[in-house]
Amino acid sequence: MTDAHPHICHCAENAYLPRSMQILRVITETDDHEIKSFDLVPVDDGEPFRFTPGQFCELSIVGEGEAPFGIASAPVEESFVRFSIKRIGRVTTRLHSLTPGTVIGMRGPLGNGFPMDAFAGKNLVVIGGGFAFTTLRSLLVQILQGGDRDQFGQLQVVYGVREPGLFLYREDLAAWQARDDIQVVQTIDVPVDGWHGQVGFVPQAVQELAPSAKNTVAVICGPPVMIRFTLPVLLELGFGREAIYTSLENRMQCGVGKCGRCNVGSKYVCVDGPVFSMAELDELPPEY
Amino acid sequence: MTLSCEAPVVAGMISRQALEEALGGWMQSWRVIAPVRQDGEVRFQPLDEPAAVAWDYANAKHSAKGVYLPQVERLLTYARTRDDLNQVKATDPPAGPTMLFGLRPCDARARLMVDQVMVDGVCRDRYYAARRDGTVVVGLACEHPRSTCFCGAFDSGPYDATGSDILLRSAGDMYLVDVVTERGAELAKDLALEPVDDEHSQRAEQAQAKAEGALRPMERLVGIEAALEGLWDDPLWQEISAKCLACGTCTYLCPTCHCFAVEDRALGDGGERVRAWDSCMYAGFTAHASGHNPRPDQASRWRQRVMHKFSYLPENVDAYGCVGCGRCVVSCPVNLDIRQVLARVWAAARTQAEESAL
Amino acid sequence: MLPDEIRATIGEWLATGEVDLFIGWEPGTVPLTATPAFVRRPDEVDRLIWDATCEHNLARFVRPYRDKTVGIMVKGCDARALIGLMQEGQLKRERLRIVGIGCDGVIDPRRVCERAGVESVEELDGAQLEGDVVVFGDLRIPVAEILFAGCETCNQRDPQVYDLRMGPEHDETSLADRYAHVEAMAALSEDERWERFTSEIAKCNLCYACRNACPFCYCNVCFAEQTNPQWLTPTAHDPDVSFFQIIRTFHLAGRCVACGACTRACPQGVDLRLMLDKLCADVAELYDYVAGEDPEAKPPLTTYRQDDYNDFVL
Repeated sequence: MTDAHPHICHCAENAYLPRSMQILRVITETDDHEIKSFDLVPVDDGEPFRFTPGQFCELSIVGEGEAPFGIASAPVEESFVRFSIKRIGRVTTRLHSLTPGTVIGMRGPLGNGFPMDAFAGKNLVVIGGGFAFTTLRSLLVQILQGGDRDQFGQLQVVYGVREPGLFLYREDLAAWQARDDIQVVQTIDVPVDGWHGQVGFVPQAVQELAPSAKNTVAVICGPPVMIRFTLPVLLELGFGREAIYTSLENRMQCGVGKCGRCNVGSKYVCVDGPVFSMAELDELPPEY
Repeated sequence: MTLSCEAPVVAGMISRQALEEALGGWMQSWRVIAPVRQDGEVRFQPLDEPAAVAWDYANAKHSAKGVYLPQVERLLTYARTRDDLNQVKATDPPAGPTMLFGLRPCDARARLMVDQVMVDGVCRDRYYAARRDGTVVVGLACEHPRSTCFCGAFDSGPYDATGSDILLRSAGDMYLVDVVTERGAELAKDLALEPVDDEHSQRAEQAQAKAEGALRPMERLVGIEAALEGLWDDPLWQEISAKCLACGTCTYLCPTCHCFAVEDRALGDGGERVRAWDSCMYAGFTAHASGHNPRPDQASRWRQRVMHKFSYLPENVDAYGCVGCGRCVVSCPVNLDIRQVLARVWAAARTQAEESAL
Repeated sequence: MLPDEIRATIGEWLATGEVDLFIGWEPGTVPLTATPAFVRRPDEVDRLIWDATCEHNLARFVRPYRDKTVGIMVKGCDARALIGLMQEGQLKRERLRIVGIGCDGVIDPRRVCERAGVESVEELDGAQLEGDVVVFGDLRIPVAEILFAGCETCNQRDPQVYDLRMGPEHDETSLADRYAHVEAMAALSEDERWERFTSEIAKCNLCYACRNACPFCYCNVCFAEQTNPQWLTPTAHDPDVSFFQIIRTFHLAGRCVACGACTRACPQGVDLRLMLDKLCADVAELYDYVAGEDPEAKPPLTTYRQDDYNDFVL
């Protein structure tokens, strides 16, 4: 475990016991209905749910199992905890069939989260591709609405998806477009009727934006191919590898560094990650 | 490495008969698990009667891992209702103290290593901790290591007291009783001990020397993590894994392997969420729902097995994920011998060092 | 013993590139054990052996290399597995160079342990196979007395397909004992059979060694590991264990060549032969078919005949 990312342990009693959370609302995020957001509230009067942007939870449905999801809401959004879920397997298919009022289980927060202390005082370039914008939303909302906006410098966002109907959080994006303390570039892969925004892959969009690397940290989440081609652009712009962060998505089960499944080299994605800097990943074998 | 202990203190010596009497007493308040002969093989089983202990056993085919990390452990039970998909109740880990009696030093050390991951490391696993805290170990030093044993390669040996609370050392007609921990000292009070005389002391020492001498010589494994550093892309992983059946027998029998799966299982109107042994040797172990698999072939899975045991665990918990018990060597259906794999690792590292020196 | 001329030919195959890889056996590190050997260079052929410890069905290893030309050593039963894999379109005959072995059976180390009075095979330190006899200290045990149970009643000792042949030829006309244990089981009462079945299955700990040793268990995702739908949980209890064993057995109906690799691979000593031979016997009786005899034959469970046995249809 690195000192920079201490494990925030909430496993005092039983790390495997999910907390009951009720579905407050379900938002269909994408036009193809494959991604839905679920806003959850605790059923009990227990401790308020505290977490850091970048952390994840294991959502549990008895009889189906559990699956890990990055937390998409920000800590400042105290009235709900949001998870954006793509329908892909057993647990997610079942989740997609659920309606508000249903209670599911949640274990967390798990993982290390973004190093907010290291981000303070810096400019941020936030780059997301496809479905991987979930924890980036958490990060951005926290910075914009958390009451500490002036703790951070310039905020630039590049968000690319295949086609307009696949953007997540379109209300948030529209609101951010209207603000002057954040610059948002939304781009799609190929031209589409009715789309008047930018067209082109994420690496190109980052190149065109040409963010300054000076006193800036980059956070990039997306499909491996997007990261592979965007990374050289960032390096070319002068970003050091220790200043570029990403979030890994390995198959995680216990979430507390025991079941042995999610390790990348000697690091467990569920405990030492999922947030890693490129410099840290350089030390690890390419096994993710 | 933390897997060592302070030098034990010889508390006295005791006859086998007196030990069996003590066992009878212990069985009243402890669940005593000991090596027992059944159906032509030795297994770790709850003891029915003290005389059933297989005192002269080599080692059981299966490890005693099932005692501290059951193959299937119920974590929660649940009821199924339409609107509440989290009607869960945590199960209570079994109450009642357990005594692991007659455990060999390799197996005692193995349990300590798993402790580091499950309890003493990040996050305390409540179920494992309850079992661990309630367990004492009366170890039995190993007089006749097998041709497949290699505990010596870890700077350990058949008389290592690490991991035992009491270690028994045979001295012909008597056993010397070494107290290793405070719990051992407490336990030793139940024993009708006699003072150790020179004759028995010497017999025990001779037996130890003989046992240690019987170990097949093998290249020392302490420090092998340094050898593994540069070998990620080495062709050795493809070569050594070609005959692997991916059956997982090695991981099942291994006293240190602890990887598990958490699965839900329907039972009547409800169900249970269980923790069950899993294996890094299985293709599905790291497979994503999307179909992506970071370890797509047996070579990468074998590399993980070796790296986990001999590089990552030493780095993270200061202990190797192997104690040299040799069970995997004996039972692998294709005789994929980890000793040969490790020899290949040393050789590959040496070749690399030579090539970079040129 | 591996005849010199066979060894030399294997060397030539490797040297000329006629095969990219040769799969055989070499001595193991545990007494009376051989281990699969993957040989790529002519100078490695000296590693190869043939004797009664060579129990693995090497056909299990060929499929990943099916785009290459592979040489392989097969006993009578193993050769039938190759034929079965060809029937199923998994292997092409022209990509194989087969050394077929007329086999007198492989030894069962557990029986050697019993005879020697030791508990486990690693205690047979120093045991050697010398021709037809296992020598262990003063003990000399004829191989014929310690064969794997399936080999004792085997009637398919000669390879049905090969490029080179070695080993004795056999007269395979007698079928009398082949299904003796199946018949004995059938003669028991229902309760006794259930007792026998459940006590065998109870030994299983779901390690999948049997499946992985079998040449015919090659599904990319085995039903046992499917997650969507999930058929079983990987526990070592019923019903998961019974479910796995029963389904695997039925998946092999009409395909199993009775090589016994599964039973020998099992670390728990489950008598898998009992169930699998029952299906072999049934398929022989109901469909007049024995697996692995003819590469052109169509397995009964993938073909339809008007007179197919279908009394089981309700």
